[in-house]
Amino acid sequence: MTDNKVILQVKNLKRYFNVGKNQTLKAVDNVSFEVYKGETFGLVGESGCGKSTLGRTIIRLYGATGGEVRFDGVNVHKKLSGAQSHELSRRMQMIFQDPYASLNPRMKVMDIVAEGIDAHGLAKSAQERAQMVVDLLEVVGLQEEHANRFPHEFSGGQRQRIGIARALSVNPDFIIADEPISALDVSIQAQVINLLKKLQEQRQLTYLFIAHDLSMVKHISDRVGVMYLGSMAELASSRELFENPLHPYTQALLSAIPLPDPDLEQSRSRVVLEGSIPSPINLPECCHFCSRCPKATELCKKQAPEMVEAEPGHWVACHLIQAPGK
Amino acid sequence: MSKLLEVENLNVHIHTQHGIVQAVRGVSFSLEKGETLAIVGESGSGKSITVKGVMGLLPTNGKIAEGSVHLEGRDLAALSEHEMQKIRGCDISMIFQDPMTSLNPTMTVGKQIMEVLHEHRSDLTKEQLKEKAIEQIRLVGLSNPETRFSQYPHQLSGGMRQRVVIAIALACSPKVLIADEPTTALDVTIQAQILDLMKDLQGKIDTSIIIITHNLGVVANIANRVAVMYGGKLVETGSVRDLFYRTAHPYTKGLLASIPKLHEDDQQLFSIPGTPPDLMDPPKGCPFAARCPHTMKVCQEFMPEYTQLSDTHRAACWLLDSRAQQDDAKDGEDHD
Amino acid sequence: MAQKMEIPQKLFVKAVVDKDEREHIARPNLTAFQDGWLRLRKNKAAVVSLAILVVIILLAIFGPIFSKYTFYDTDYAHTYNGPSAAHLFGTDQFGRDQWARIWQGTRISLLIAVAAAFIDLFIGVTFGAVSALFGGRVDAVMQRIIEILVGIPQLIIVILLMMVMPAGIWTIVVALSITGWVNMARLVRAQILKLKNQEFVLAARVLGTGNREIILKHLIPNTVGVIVINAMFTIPSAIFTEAFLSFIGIGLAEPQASLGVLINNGYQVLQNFPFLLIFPAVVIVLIMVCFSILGDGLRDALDPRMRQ
Repeated sequence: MTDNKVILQVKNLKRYFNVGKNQTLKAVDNVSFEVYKGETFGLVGESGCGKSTLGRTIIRLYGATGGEVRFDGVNVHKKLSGAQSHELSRRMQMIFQDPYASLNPRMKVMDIVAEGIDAHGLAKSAQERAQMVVDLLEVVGLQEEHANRFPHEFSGGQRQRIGIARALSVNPDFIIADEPISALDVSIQAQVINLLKKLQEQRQLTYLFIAHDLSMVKHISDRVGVMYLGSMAELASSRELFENPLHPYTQALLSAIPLPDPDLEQSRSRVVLEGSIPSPINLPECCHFCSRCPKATELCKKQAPEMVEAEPGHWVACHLIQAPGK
Repeated sequence: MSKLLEVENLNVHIHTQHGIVQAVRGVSFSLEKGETLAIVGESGSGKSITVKGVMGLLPTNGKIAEGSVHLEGRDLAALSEHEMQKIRGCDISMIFQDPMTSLNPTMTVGKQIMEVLHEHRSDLTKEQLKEKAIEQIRLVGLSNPETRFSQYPHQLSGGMRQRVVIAIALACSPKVLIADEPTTALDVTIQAQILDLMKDLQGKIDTSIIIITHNLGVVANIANRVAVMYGGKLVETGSVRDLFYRTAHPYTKGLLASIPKLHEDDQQLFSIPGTPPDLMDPPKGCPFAARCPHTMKVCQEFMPEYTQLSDTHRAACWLLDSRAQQDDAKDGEDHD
Repeated sequence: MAQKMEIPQKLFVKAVVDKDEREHIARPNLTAFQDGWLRLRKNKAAVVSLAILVVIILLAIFGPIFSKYTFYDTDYAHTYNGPSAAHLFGTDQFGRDQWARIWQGTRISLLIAVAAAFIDLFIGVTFGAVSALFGGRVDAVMQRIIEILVGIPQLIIVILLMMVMPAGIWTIVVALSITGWVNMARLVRAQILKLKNQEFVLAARVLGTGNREIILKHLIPNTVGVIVINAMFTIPSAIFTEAFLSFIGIGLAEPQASLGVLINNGYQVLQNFPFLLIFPAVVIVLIMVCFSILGDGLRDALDPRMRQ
C-alpha cells in the first residue's frame, strides 16, 4: 500500500501561544515526523498534548512559530502564490471532531457538501454540482433525498459522514482526521472507521489520524506517533509500538486502556501513573514526562531527551533508551 | 439473596415540543448488596434516563409513566420530594460525567464536603465535620488533604475533581452509588486511576455500584453484572462473563465485534449498519430489528420476550425462541 | 406465555430489511424558518402579542382614516369631551379628537422606534462584525470606544443633542441611536467571535472558501437570530425613551403628537379628565409588553439549541 514516497514532512515544528504576560503555552514543541504516501499515520495522546494543534498547524489554520511543514516538497507556511495556496487547500483536507459543530446549522446538506466544489470551481453547471453532491453522498452511504435536509435532522454518525463527503468533494490526496470518532457511539465508530478504510483503498488517500482512543488508532494506522505535552515521545510502526513500547509513557498508556475482556482485564497487571498531566504553560526545560515517570532520573529533570532511532523505524525520546551503537 | 434495589417495569416518558419520547420502556432489574452493575448502551438508549428515574431526578418534562422502584422494600416513586431528598445523598448518591459542573465553583472543596456531611449528620460540631471532610479527601487518594480542603475546584485537574465528586458522593456511606459515565470526560491514564479508586472504595465502605457507560473495556474492568440497553429496553442482562463469553443478543454481539482488540491483529471491524430507532415513534417489534443481521418477520411485528438462558443470564430476542432455531435464521450474514 | 401461542410459525423466517430504510429520516423536511414559526405558534402568549401588535400597527396606519377629524383640528366648542359616539376617545383641551391623536401618536412613536432600531442594527452589526473579524488592535480600539460611550449617561447626550438640534422626529431618532447601537454591537461581536472558531467555519477555511463567502454564508446567517431578537427588544425601549423625553418636555413640539406628548397632556388634567391619560397609557403599555413577550418568544423559537 505504501511506497516510501514522503508526502508530508514535519521538521522541528513549533507552535506557541501567548497566554498572558510572559507566559507561553508551547502547544507543539519541536515535533518532527514524516508521513508516507498512502499510509495512515496515527497520532495519539491525552487531552492537551497538542495533537489537535499540530494537525491545525499542518493544515495552515494556525501559523507556525518555528520549524517547517513540507507537503509534497512545498513549504506550506512560506508565502505562497494564490494558485499554489488554492491547490494546497484542495489537496489537503480535514475531518473534524464534533459532528454537531462542524456543519453549519443554517445550510442544507447540498450546500455544505458543495462548499469545496464552489470554492474551487469544480462544477460547470448547477446540474453538475448537484450530481457531484449526490455521488459524494452515495459514496458515504447516504442518499439523494438527504441533500435537501438540514444538519440537525441527522444523527451523529450521519453528520460525520456528511463531513467526510465535504472533505472528499475536492478530491484531496491527504486528509487530517481530527478525532473523527470520539464523539460517536461505539457501533457508529466502526461504521466511520470502515468507511475511511474503504475510501483510502479506493482513492489512494493518505491519512493523519488524530485520536485518543489507542485501540482504534492501532486498528487503522500503519505507523503511530505518541505525543505528550507538545512533544513526540515515541514513533514506530503500529504493531511494533503496541508489542514493544519503549517509552515509559507509552507503556503506561497502553496498560491503562481497559480491555473488553473481563478475564484478561481483571487479571493483568498494569502500570498506573500517579498524578495528572502538569499545566502546559511555562514548562521547564526537562523531559516533560519526568514528573509522572516511574523511572525518572536526575538527568530527566535537567535536560529534554532527543529522538533516537532505537530500532529500525522505531524512534523514541527518552534518556533511558540509547540508540544502538552508542 | 438480599435485593437492595429493585426496579420493576419502569417506563419513562419525556414530553417534547414534537411529541412524547418513550425514553425507557419496561425496564426491570435488581441490584444486590455489594455488587457492581453496569448499564451499557449508546446515547439515546435510555440508560441515563433510567437511573435518573430511579433517583427522582428526571427533567421537568419527564415523567415515570409506569413501574416501581424499591430500595430495601421502600417504594421510592411514592415518596414526596422532601423524603426523596433525604434518600438522595444518604442512601443513594450519584456521580456525574462532568466533574466541573457537579461542583460549585465558588465554594472550597472542603466546604462542599462538609455541607453534605452536615445535611445528614447534624449532630457533629464544626471541628468534627472538618476532620471528617479531611478524612474523606484522604480516602479518595488526594495528596495533602489539608491543602486540598481549602482549594477551589478550578485549582484542581479533571481527575482530582472527579475524586472530589466521589468524596462528596461517598460522604454519607451510601448504600447505592450511581455513576453516570464517571470516566468518559477523563483521559485514559486518569480513567484507570478512578476505576481503581472506585473498586478500592467499594471494598472499604461496602456500597453497591451502578455504573453507566458505553465503554465495554470499563465494564470488563469493574462490573460483576451487566445490563445492555437498546431503544429504551433492556435487551440482555447477565454476569459479566455471560455477556462477554456467552453473548446471546445480536446487538451485544455487534457491539463487541465493533471494537478493535488491542491484542489481536488487523481484523475487519464489524459495523452495525443504520442508526438507533426514534423513540418518539418506536417500532412495534424488536427495537433492533432494523439493524439486526438476522431479522425475521416476527421481529418486525412482535416485541420479543425474555428467554432465561441460565440463572443469571437472560436476553430478549426471537432467535432464542425454540421455533427460530429450526429455521436456522443464523445463516447468511449479509452485513457490510 | 399466552401471547407466545398466537404468533404463527410462519413468521419465524428471515425478513428482508430495506437497507435504504435504515438511513431514512422520518421527520418532515423543515427549514429553519418553518421550524421557528412552528415553535413560535406553540407559545400562546407570543401569538397573542403578535396579534395585538398587528392590530395596533394597522390602527396606527389606518386609524385616523376612520375619523372625520385630523389630529390637529381644533374645536373650541367641544373641549374636554368624554368618550362618545362622535369622539370615541374624547377630545382634549383644544377640542382635538383623541382617537385621531392617539393613532397619530402611535404612528410617530412606532416610526421613531423602528427608525432607531434600524439605525442601531446597521451601525451595531457593522461595528460588531468589523471588530470581531479584524480582531487584534482594531478590536481593542473599537472596544474602548464602546466602553467610553457606555460610560457617558445616555440622558445627558440626548438632552445636549436636543438643545443643539431643532425639535422634531429625526432629532429624537438621532438622539436615541447615538448610544443605542452599543448593545447590538456587543452582541454581534460576541456571536461572531464564537462562530469564528466553530468547526464549520474552520472547515470552510480549510476548503479554501474566501473571506467574503465565509462572512455571507456562515457568519451572518448564524447571527440573524441574535440580531432579530435584539432589535425586538430595542423597539419598546426606544418607545419608552421617546415617551420619557416628551414627558419631560424636550420631545416633540405641538401640534405634533406622540404617545409621550399625549401622556404628558393627560397627566396635567388627570384629576378631572382621566381618560386623556388612560387611553394613550394603555396603548403604550400594550406596545411595550407585547414587543417584550414576542421578543422572548422569538428568542426561544429561534434558538438552535431548542431544535431537536
